[in-house]
Formats: sequence, C-alpha cells, structure tokens
Amino acid sequence: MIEVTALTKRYGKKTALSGAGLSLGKGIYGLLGPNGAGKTTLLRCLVGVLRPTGGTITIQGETGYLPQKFGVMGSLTAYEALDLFAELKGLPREARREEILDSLARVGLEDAEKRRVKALSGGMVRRLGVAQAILGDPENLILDEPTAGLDPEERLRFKNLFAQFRGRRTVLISTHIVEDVESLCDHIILMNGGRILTVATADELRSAAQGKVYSVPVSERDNLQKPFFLLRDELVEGQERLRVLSDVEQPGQRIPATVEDGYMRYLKGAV
Amino acid sequence: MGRRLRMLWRVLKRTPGCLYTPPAVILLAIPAFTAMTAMTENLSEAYSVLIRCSQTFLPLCGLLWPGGYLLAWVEGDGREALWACSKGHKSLIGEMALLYGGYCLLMALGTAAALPFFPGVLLELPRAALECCFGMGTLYLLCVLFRNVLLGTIPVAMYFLFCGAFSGDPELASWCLLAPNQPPEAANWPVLTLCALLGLLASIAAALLQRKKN
Repeated sequence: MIEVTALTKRYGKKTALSGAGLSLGKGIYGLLGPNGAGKTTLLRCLVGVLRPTGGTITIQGETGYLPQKFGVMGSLTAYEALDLFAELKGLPREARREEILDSLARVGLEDAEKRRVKALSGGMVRRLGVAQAILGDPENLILDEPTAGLDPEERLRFKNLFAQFRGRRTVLISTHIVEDVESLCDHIILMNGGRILTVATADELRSAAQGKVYSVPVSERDNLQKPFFLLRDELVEGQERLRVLSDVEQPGQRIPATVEDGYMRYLKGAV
Repeated sequence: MGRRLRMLWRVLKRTPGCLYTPPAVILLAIPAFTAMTAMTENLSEAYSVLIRCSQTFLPLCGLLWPGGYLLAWVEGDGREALWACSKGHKSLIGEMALLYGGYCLLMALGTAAALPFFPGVLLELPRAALECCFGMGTLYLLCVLFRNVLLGTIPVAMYFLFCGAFSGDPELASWCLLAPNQPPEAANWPVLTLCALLGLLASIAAALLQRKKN
C-alpha cells in the first residue's frame, strides 16, 4: 500500500510537486499527465531517489522501481546485471539464482541469460529493467514510462506482463500514452502542474467528457463557437473532420467520448 | 561492509582500465623503470627517478579507482535504479573511504618492495597518502557537482600535472601546493596536511550534497 500526503518538491523557485496526495491499495494505477506534470518527480520521491521538500510518504512492504531511463553496464550479462541488483536489494545468496532465473522467465528473457546487455535490443533492456524491479517479489511496483519508445508488439508484451500483477500488488505506472492506461489500469490518476487533478476509472473519465465531444466537418471550422478545444484532425470514413471538445453547441454531431477526451477535459477545465 | 566491498569489486572489475592500471603502475612500471635506471646509470639516479615517478604517478593513479566506481553511481543510465535499490544508502563516502584505504595499502606494498634498496622512500608513503586524500576528495565533490566523472577528473588531474610542471616557475610556484620535492625529506608537511584536510572536507561536502538530493 502507498499513502502520500501533501507532497511537495521544490527546486529553488520552481515547484515540481505541489501538495500531491494519494492513497493506493492493491491494483494497477495509471499515472497520466503531460510532459512536465511532475509524474517522474512524484515517482522518484516515492522510491527515495529524491528527497521531498514537504509532506509524508508511507509505503508498506518492499518496492521495485523501473526508472524512465534504465541502463546497466553493457559488459555484464543479463544474469550478472540482475545479480548486481539482487546484491543491492540484499536478497539471500542461497535463493538468488532461482529468483533471478524466475524474473528473467517472467519477462521473457530466459534465453538471454548469458547475453551481454550491450547485445540486447532496446525493448529487451527495458524488460531487463522490469526484471530487476520484480526481483525479490516486492509488494509494490513503480514503473516510469515503461513502454516509451517501444514498438507495438513490445508494448503489448508489457501490457500482458503487467496484467499478471493485478490484484496481487500495488502497481503504479506512469505514462503519457492514454491507450496504455485505458486497457490496463483499474484506476487512472491525472496529474498536471505538480498537482493531482483526480483519481478516476476509465468509465468516469469518459463520462466527464460525455456529450461534450463533437465531430465537425472541416468546412465548418470558421463556424466553431468559442470556447472550444480542438482535440485533433481525423479521417472519418475517408472524410477529414475536426474532433472538438466544448461545453457549447457546435456545428457538428455529438460523438461518444473516449478516455482521452475525458483526460483533456480535466486538463483544460471547462471549455 | 561486506556488501559494500562486494559492490566495489563487481563495479570496478567491469572497468578494467581503472581497476588494473594503479597496480600495474605501482607494482610493475615504476619498479621496472627504476631498476632499468639503476642498471644503466647508478643507484643515486635510480632513487631520483623513483621519487619523481612516485610523486607524479601515485596521485594520478589514485583517481582511477574512485573514478571507475563513481561512473556507475553518478552518471550511468542505471544510477537511478541503483540508488532506488540501495534503500538507506544515501552517499558514497563509505565506498570512497574503502577505496582510499585500499589504495594506501597498494602504495604501501610498492613502498615495501623499494625499501630494502632505498630506505628514504618510506617518506613518500605518507606524502602520497596526503596527496591522494586531497585528490580523491576533490574528485568525489566535482563528480557529484557536475554529475560527470570526466568533468570531475580533468581539473584534479590537471592540477596535479600543473604542480609537477610549474613548481619551478617563480611566478606560478605559489599556486603549486602539491609541488614535487627532492629529497623526500624536503616535503612541505603543513601544506600537504592542509590539502589532505581540504580533500576530507570536500568528501564530506559531496556526501552531504548526495544525502540532500537523496
């Protein structure tokens, strides 16, 4: 379990975290927010890599952490790299080999045990990072942008891997890819400007934008009523249309909202 | 303590250049060069060469072990994961102290080998230990400040070389706190001790900076 109360982190005059509060039980939580929202700062404070300026953090049990940038000495083999982390985590020597092999198997790297890290692909190094995070079977897992830079096949592999953890641990996954949290997470934590905006389910986020999303023909662009927020240009049945978020009626048809629409609704406020 | 020693060994053996250069220089290169001088010239000249080599290379080599270890913890891509796993371990001052002690032991071995031939070389050991204390402490602080081992190493190494090259220059001599001296008895012990203390303070400052961040 993870409890955070009024967490603050300042770098001189800049405030990266401002009174963030969370209470996380067992389950998979997605931490969603734009670049610079404070997601990585929050995670670093949780695992002790950064010292917060104020507030309290209570974590029950051990925590495994995958940082945004993970690397390890290229001359080590995958096994030796995990052995290094096992040493740091204080895993008993007798059980270490079994733990390491089990972690490698769970991330699909059992065949890469004797391969040097520098010979592994980016996705495999990322999986090695997850393997070191799950070493010792920690009660909590904190993963910072685990799927960033990975191809669709690797991202799917990661999602299947994380789904194994459901119900057994507290897993907190930071990402700015809405698709990843939508399919995987029980709860979604929205963050912006160093603050927690809300903690909601995917359905609740969709509901927040329901009735406020319009599909507008491109020809009606000049007739859009302010205030509105242009989500994106999209091709619908071969026709270019504007996807618009607005509280006022727009010259187009209302369409079902997605989690991403709900996310933007919270980010932009009333539009 | 055991875990720290095991970590030191595991990390350093992955940087063989940093790990093996100091013993190669202290136990092989310097003795070989001294022996060659003794055979081609005379013992007095060989003694002079031994002192010059010790005063030049011992402090420089003393930067390699801490530099190699700091590489993983200060600037490597894996440093964040390493710190996260090291619950409770907030600075590297313990490791720096172990590396300093180990390096002093290595220097003592080299000195012991030369002692039967050149009794005066015994004074080089405390001199080198004081210089290395300055060098390692300053290196540690600069690496933490710059988050880059190369940027931390260059100023310290350059200062050692500067002292060796310009201590004879009347305009620059006053800047050369670690000026070489022949014979070893002529060492400026108060200044060397002060430099060692500065190195110690630099280590403490580096540790405090790391604890503040972590």
